[in-house]
Amino acid sequence: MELKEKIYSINKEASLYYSQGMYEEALGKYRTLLKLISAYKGIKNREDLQSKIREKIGAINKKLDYYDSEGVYTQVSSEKKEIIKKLFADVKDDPEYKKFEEALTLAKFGQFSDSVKEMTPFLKNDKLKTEAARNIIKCFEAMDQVDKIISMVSNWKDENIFSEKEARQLVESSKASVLSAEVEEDPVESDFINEPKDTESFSPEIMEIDSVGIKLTGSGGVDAEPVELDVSFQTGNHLSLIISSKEKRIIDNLDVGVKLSDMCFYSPIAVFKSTGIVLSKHQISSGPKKGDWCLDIEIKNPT
Amino acid sequence: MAVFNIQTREIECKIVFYGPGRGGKTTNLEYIHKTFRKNITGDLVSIDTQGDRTLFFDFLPIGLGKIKGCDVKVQLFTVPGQPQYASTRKLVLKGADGIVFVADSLKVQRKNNILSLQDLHDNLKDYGKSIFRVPLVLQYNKRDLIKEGFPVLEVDTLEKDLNKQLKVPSFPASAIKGDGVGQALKKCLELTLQHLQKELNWAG
Ligand SMILES: Nc1nc2c(ncn2[C@@H]2O[C@H](COP(=O)(O)OP(=O)(O)OP(=O)(O)O)[C@@H](O)[C@H]2O)c(=O)[nH]1
Ligand SMILES: [Mg+2]
Repeated sequence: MELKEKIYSINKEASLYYSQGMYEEALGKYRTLLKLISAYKGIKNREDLQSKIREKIGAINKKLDYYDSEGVYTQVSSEKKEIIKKLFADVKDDPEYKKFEEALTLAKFGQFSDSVKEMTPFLKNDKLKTEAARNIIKCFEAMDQVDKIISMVSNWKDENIFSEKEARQLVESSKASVLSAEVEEDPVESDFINEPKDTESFSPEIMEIDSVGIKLTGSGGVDAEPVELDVSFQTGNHLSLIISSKEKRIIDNLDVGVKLSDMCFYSPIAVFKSTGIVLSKHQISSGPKKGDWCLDIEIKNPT
Repeated sequence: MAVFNIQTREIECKIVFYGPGRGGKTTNLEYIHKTFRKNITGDLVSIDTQGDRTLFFDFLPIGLGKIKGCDVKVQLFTVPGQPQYASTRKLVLKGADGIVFVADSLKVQRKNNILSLQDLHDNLKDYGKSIFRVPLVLQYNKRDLIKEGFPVLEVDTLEKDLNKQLKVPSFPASAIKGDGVGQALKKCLELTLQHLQKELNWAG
């Protein structure tokens, strides 16, 4: 093929790909063209051609950048949202459940803030509130607003929509779980924690405890070795521990009401000993820690 | 999922146009909308487009009239073909009773055709369906570009790439001109209705 024909044909191909929205392919062809032209010094209007191609490459790159910067989901008009709901919300006879499905569908199609709006009334519905809350939390995660989850769940707790335990479970199963140490500390206690600590005030109520050591009593009544467990969450002298489902021996030994007479509490600035009591024990049913156990312990008088 | 209303003897089924991004799915629906006027029962809705790439889906309702005593309504959908819209694509595929796979005949799209068919296979499998049993036809689109001298795959190559194991009906087509669009859709509807007749035991 003659050079001129070759240039013509590559250019034609590049234009086709461009016009059909196949920008990567168009870019590839324009680059080939640029190389070809740059290699032949004898071409008439060579510089002119080169700058025209460079312009095209620049325009395509801009388009690609634009597409990259756009998220996967765009917000659609309210008329189109209605169409999405009509076509994709599984039809249920129960009109209230239908509304719930519609709100879920909006989230599936990336219309997160509208889904939150339409899902919120279901927090007042005892049967659907947990699922509604989970969906709302997922929407905030998808909108990259994980930081809002904790205060939102805390409000739900204040409004008596969820108990403290339920609220904690909601946070734990969300991406906000890493921030959950901040949840539900009432302001007075937080102030205490933030106060400069002096050696006089070592008391479990105001100490930040990283981990605890517990001596387990073996099934045969024989004292077993102490185990160290991380604290995942603390309010005052209530500690929550997460125990891996693999640690069956520990889980089996720590039933609700069990008194722990020989406990060590490790804080960043001191270790102290005290007794404790197991307040609650439940298996986590969703989220990344699904299957693991959550144990709540109350610290008794320090010694 | 087809809905069969026994009282009104009405059946509504869903056909999905699947395939690589830029392959011509939306153009297929546009042609159907323009051409089969007497079957069209509602507007062609595009939700949404950017440039002309589909972001969520296109939707076109059509009616086939009475078939074996049943009023047959069909919802036509296109999926977004670009890779990044994988989760929307899967959502739109859900409940499909039949599929038109629109492959792009352009050589540069060879790999994308294969990846998209694989993606269809995987998504169907997740819905508990087999690509070998679902009513499916292949359409080899943009055949008009051969005449204009563009690098286009031979039908034999497309057959080897995509239809060697499936062995489903396939149609060379040009959605922009309309060639092969009606044939592919008709065949897909035929297969789908046969399948539904067996499953729903209708017309028995
Ligand atoms: N020459 C030619 N061009 C076609 C044909 N079909 C579609 N096109 C063009 O190809 C480009 C993509 O077509 P669409 O119908 O938007 O493709 P799509 O499969 O819906 O793409 P996505 O929405 O991104 O998945 C457009 O520029 C169409 O005009 C055809 O048969 N011949
Ligand atoms: Mg499209």
